[in-house]
Amino acid sequence: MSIGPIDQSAMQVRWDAARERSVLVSTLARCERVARRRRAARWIVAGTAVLVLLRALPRLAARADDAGGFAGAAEPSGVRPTSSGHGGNAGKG
Amino acid sequence: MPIDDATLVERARADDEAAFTTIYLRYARYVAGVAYQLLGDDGEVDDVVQETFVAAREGLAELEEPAAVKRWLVVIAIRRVHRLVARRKVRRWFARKMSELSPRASDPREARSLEELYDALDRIPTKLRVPWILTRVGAMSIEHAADVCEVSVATLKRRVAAADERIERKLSE
Repeated sequence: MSIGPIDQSAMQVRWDAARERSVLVSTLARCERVARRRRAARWIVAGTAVLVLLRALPRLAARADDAGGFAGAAEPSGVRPTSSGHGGNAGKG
Repeated sequence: MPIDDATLVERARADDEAAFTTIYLRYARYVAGVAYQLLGDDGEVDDVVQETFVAAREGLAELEEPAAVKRWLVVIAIRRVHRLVARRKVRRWFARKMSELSPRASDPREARSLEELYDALDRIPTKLRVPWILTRVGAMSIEHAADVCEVSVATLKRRVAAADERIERKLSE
């Protein structure tokens, strides 16, 4: 058995206006869903970044305070700065 | 005067839904035709067309040559078909295993049909199947087929020849 001529007419898709319209409607609806999901994901990422930043800012500010008061000076031995400010140099500057 | 593809792509990139719809109306039939020939039936053509245009809308920003949108759509459709055919092969394998457990319903000497041809095509690798169908069934030129399959002309010719050989063998089994 060998590959004979292929019936080209049998290989034509029946693509009428109704089918075209129906696929277009579902395509646009799906594009909208994808776009909405993407927007939601962006908001979640942005919100998470803001939350992380808000939590980290006070600590960063405290560290900046600690370092800023004695810029270039060595920490006194045995005294370690903490985020709460106790035991460090916070408030001394 | 119809708007050219590059302008439509630029407008669609700027979220112009009418421009995107025009691109769809211009090429959906062509994409559907290619998908139909590659799949061999009508069952999943709508899904391929839909997925192709959804992916196209998402990826419009990355399209380097807006004027080559037709070629780009076919490339996306072919990638979708690759995935579908891979899934089908798994399903077919299970079906074959199941049919081995039940008595044969058809005469093995019956005349060869398109169904048999696609059955043979389902049993060869997709990277051979796609170029073979595009050139033998879709009558696409070797150069065009190589372009949309993202391979060189020499590779495509080799794949078509390999597919010829394997299909012949499968049909004579």
